[in-house]
Amino acid sequence: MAQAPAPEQGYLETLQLEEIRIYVGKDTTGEHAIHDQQFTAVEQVMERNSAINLVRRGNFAMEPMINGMSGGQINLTIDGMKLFSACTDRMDPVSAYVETVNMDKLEVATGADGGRHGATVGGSINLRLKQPEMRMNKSLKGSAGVNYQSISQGYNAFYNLDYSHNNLGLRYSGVYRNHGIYKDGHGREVMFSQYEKMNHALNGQYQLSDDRKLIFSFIWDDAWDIGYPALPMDVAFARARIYKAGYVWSRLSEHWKSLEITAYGNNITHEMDDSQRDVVIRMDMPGWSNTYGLNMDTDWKLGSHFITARAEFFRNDVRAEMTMYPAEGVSMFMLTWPDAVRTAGGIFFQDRIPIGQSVWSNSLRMDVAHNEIKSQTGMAQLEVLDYEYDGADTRQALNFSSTLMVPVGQYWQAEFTGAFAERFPTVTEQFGFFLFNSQDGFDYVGDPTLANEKAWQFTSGVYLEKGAFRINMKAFGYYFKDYILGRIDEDLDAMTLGARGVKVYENQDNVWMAGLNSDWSVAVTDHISYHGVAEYTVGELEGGAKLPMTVPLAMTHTLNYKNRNFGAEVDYEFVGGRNKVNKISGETPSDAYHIFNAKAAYQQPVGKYTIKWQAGVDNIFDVAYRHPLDWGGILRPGRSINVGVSCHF
Amino acid sequence: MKLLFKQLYLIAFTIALFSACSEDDDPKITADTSGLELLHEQVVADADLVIEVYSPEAPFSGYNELYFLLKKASDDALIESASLTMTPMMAMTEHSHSAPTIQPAESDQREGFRKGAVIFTMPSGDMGKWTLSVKVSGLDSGNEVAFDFEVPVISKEASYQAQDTKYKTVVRKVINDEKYFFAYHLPEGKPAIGANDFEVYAYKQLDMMTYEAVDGLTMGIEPEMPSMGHGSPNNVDPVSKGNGRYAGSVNFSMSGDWAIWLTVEQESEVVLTDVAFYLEF
Repeated sequence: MAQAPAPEQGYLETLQLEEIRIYVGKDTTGEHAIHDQQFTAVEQVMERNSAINLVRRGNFAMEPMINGMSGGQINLTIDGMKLFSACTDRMDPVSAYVETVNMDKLEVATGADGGRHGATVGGSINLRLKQPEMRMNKSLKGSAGVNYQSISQGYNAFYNLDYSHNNLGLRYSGVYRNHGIYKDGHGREVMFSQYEKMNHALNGQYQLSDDRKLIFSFIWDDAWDIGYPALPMDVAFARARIYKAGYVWSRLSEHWKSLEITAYGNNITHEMDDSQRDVVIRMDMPGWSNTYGLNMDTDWKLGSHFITARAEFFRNDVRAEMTMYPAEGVSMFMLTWPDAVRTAGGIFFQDRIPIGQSVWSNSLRMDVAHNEIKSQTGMAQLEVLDYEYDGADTRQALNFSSTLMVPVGQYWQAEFTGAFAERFPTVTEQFGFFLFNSQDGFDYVGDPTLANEKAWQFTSGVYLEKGAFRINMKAFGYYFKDYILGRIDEDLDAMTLGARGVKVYENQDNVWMAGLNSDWSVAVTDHISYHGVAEYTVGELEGGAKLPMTVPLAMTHTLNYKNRNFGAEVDYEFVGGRNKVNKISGETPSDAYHIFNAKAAYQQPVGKYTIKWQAGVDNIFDVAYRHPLDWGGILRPGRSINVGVSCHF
Repeated sequence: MKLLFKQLYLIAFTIALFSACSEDDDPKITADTSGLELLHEQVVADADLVIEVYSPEAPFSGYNELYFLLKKASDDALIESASLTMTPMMAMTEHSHSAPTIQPAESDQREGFRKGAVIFTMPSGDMGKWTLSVKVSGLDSGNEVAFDFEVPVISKEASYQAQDTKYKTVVRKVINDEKYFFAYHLPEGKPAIGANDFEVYAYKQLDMMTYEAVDGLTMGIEPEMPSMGHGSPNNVDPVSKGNGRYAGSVNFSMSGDWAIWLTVEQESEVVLTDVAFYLEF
């Protein structure tokens, strides 16, 4: 069968190259991974992808990067919804507002392939929410669990309840996490690494007929008392309300396969403060981000063409303030994000044409964005910097990507992609006002006249699947024009006490990066499997300086054993040392490290329930280590024992 | 019929025209006193006159705008024809003195008002009190009216939490045996985040009652937030505009405490430095 795949199957197989999907824990016990993934945060699930790394500033809300690109360079969406962080210091990536218990899968696309979810140079991560199941036989099902982690004396609890009756399906899930400060591999307490959070989510669908349904989701996420050891400030609270409602048609006609229209909104409030720190001047930095949008997705099959299209529209309002309270004297105030409003629309087309056994895929995305500063104070602040900017600008972006997937011999497939990618500057890059970056110690100032960042991208990959062995390898090279990076401006005085100076965002040409992503797996026996992930990136700025935030060689090996009711897993993680650093962006050399983790789970049927016992040890050898991308030289947690139990019905 | 309509239309038009004219002729302009504090009200019943004196904030040692409103006591109608002069006076036991004064003239910004300014060179206190003598002449009645009233002048320095003797609102400095006074003024009103027009006024004392505007000095300014230790970029040094006025621009990148360090050169020689105008907002 595998030797002569049907054309349709071949087509679906090649799809895996373009977009990598990581399925998060299934609700039904039988399909469970070794551990309940619900205990882990979304970022930790992401990190298993060979293209994704996390920038760590604390033990919470780590910021995802795709091949060394982050922030405005990538799209981070929830169910295709646009969300924009409310924190000027990137303490609240969107992924911090969803939980694994409410997630179905991650959809990861690198480079211009991520264009479906917005103009991007780095790629996209879409966090697909779980939809309630429509069951005939069982109206109610659910699960609940709690686990304990010794290193932070923390616990994670989750529960979910699925209800299905006639045409209605509802899914309610919740998570509570409470973690104290953790100890690193030297046994030293890492101060300000605590956090506490709660998340509730309600997803629903109502089947109007066989091919039409209404869907909705509501997420309520509150986190508070979050420490950021690598930063001079903590977070008093971070709050997100995310909601959407949509209408889904499938099989509209022979050619028109589906149409989905979704309206959504989200309101994020983020309150940064340093009331717990020993500071000369107390400071509050609240931020707000509100987004409202409309998405339209459709799939067509015209002749041999598979066409996917999206039209979207959104409006995002952000504001961030800084108020300082000296022990004596008047308080000081400024707007760090000046009531900036972005109204944008975009269309995306993708056409996949099977040509014999090959598939040729072309995608095109066009965006128009209008940026405006609504605040007079914000405009007055820009005046101080002497910018010629009348308070509004309109810009366009174009993304184009062409991929050819060719089967080579019986088992191999090769892939070649050429793409042009373009992305808009972020609010911080355009309008940010003296935002302190504790990694490099500079205050950052935006430039409203920045050009869009552009990149030419070439990717080639191979994919092999033969019996129990599967490997996926991808090499990429990006060449940037107008790469957006902070440059030191000697004429400006830093505003933050103790800052080294001021950097102004500017466009730079002749920036390149290249890298390798690979993952593979072998089913050794029916019960034992082995899985590996490797990545390597390298890049340079004009003049030969190292591109910041690139990852040296990193590998993860996982050995997995699974037998009816028992499962066990051993992880080995290696990250190479880094000597060549970009000093001016605050990077410091880091050592290579080797980490071992192990875990086991046993599930026990009790009547109609299934009880799942699980235990594990992370960082078995209590290694004191830090990832090259971690901020502030803060070490990661030392040896931690976790025990947990969950019940599924 | 058609003719009748035409006539009616004409009549209506004439009435409208006349009523418009009569409104125009009415000198009863309602003067806008928003953002002003009433300092003094002088009623001169026999001259059918009311004089109101306003300032944008409580008078302080430094440059103070003063606004005058002249009205008929009988019907509150504004009087525009009269001329007005003022003389500030510091009554001290030993040596009483006046202060640099810009005589009131019709205000461009506030319709109906006369605007002048006084640079109070020191605050009121135990040493002595400030009075303002006002003379009104050229009234239709032919009367001349004179009166004076006390102006309590506060010291802003005393209210600042950041205590530094270098922070001033008015600078006194003896240069070549002559007594000079420098004061700052924000012509747009209150300080705000962003670019602010910034003026410095320079006067020297000829005798206890006479002050002369000094032009042709070279000034340099450098703003700084004392509590933070940083400044702001793209400021414009004040340049001489005549009558002792120097106009420039200062940038406040955030609200809070600001010291605007001042350097003055006379004939390429630094005559004043290491002193700052200070303000909080």
